[in-house]
Amino acid sequence: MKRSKPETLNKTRLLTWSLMAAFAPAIANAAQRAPEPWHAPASAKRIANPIKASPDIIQSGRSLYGMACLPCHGDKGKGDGLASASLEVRPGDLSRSVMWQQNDGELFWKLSNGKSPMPAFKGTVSDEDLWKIIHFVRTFAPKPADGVIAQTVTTPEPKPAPPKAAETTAAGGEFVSRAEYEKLKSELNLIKAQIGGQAPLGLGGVKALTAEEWKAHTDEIESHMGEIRAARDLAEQNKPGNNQQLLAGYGFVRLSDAQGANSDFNAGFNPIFLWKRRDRLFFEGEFEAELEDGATEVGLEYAQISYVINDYLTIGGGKFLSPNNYFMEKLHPSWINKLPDKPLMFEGNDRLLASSQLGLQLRGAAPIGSGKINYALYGVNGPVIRTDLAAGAPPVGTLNFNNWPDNNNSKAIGGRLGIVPVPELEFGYGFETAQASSGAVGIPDVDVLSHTLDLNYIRDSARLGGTLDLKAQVAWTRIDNPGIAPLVFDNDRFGGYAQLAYRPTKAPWEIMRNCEMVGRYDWIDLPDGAPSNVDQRRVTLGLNYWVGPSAVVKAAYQFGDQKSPGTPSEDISAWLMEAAFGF
Amino acid sequence: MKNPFAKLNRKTLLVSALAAAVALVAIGCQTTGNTATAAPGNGDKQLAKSAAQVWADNCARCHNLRSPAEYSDYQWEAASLHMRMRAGLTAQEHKAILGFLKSAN
Repeated sequence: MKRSKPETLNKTRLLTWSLMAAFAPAIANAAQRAPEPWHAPASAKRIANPIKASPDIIQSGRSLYGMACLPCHGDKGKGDGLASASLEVRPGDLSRSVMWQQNDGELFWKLSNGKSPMPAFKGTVSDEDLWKIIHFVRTFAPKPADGVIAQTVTTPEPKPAPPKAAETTAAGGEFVSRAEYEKLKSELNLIKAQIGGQAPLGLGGVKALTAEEWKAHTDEIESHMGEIRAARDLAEQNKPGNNQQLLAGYGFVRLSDAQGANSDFNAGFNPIFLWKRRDRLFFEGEFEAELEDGATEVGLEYAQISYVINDYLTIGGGKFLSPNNYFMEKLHPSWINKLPDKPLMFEGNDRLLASSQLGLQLRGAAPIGSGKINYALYGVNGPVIRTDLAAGAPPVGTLNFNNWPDNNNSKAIGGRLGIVPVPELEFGYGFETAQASSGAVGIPDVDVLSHTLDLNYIRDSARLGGTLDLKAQVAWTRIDNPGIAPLVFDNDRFGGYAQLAYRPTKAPWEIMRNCEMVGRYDWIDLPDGAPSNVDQRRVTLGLNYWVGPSAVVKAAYQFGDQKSPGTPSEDISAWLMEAAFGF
Repeated sequence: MKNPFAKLNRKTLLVSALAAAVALVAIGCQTTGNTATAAPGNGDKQLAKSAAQVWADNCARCHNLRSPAEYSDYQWEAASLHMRMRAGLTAQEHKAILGFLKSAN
């Protein structure tokens, strides 16, 4: 089916381009700062590397580097690790020969003290391990042949240069020469003078401080003490209390131009409030301001009080994102979701799983071998089954998860088990079982059973030249057929999505490093006998530009079809754009 | 596609869920008090070394890594506990990540 209103298309194009133009300054602004010159203090030069380089030491340095440095500096030391694109300063390139302008002592000082966003490793990594890392880091940069190399002190006490023959004494160098004696004598006198200058007593032959000099010194000390007192007062006044809090959240603006609908702008603002008291008590709340049907709707996305029982278990209650639903719980915020819209199974009246639920949950995680598992179990109000046949009412047989107050006495039970065998991979199984009531007289409660499988795989490597990100989830929801009108059909619902994204984070140009390509296939199959039954299949191709780690401009084209039994399939293509910012 | 779980009925799931809840609470009660008071041992030292890796592995699973410089120590306290619950971090991972963020902001 071809578009029938070309003038709308032109207008939309115009809007699209103006939106892109509006974001151009933001894109230009995104530039990551190059590392500023960073010099270790002169004293650092004098610290010697107490460990001699050997293949074993370098190997051990390599594995330490893998744990402490690799996420930012990358596997070739080029400053292109997984985290590099997210930092406001690009991590230093350790593979350039200018690395040799610093000696090991200077590198040791930098590793120990850090400079935001590089952590200070003093205290978390032992000195010995830092020296080993330095030996390994040295293997990245070719050693220049032209003598640019800074003198690297390899032993704590460098051997003195052999004295010249003329100055050598008969005893074969065991005594100092005349010249050395004179040098030492003058140094000693200098030291005496310096000591004498600080002590009013004075040493023999050294001048004592005058009264004015003494007063100038004490005045200076007094003024420093005043500054210290002021700083201490300021720190005391601003000392945080026991409640640690954070106001976070995200906002977005969206433009959609779908087949058969008017092009439309939308916007949203989702502030998130987090409060933590000591180590165990926690509250998280999110508001959701949405523009729908000519009104601004403010919803409570979640409001949950949690208590950390121990390392493996947390109990929480309130309204929370449904723990069986991986996408909605972890991936849906617009600065995380890599496409401007959600997969079909999570949106609209036909959604297969709840977004958020009202009840209690137990959750936690535990290390197992070199991997871990995470688990959640919950009891909630559960869904309502829709049976209203009125025109304009949501389709009969679909589930409404906004069930408050609960319309029956039966609570839904659900949960999820996630397995993380290696850090790159997580997969899980979630379920929910409920008895849903329609609230209508004469229609019995129906059993509702949902199963969902999710998959999450991330791979960052030099060979790929960037980061690959695979996400997928499928869900089956089976609602019993009571055989009482209007619920007289087998109510099996099935949907899913698979999404692959690639970001060339190791590309030589920043503009490429910030781009991300996304492809997604999603579908939903609704029961054939249902009064409203539209099966949909879509492919969405998107291009994102990351302005910062949590700020993105997305553009996507979507194509696919929808089909009801007995009708020809219908084109459902759309252009989607979105700018999102998580804060 | 046929529902591969068609044979699981509500009763089976409810009984399993109840058993799982009892097991979780029982394990939970036995280990109460570990969270804040655990003394640093050898295991902790190993973790501290790889804190940067724990940070990168876990946070990047769902979203771009956020720079440690984005929040203050006290803000990271709240953000990291939020994420411990949301993302299913173990207590040790949470501790390592928080330590890393505080040392690098």
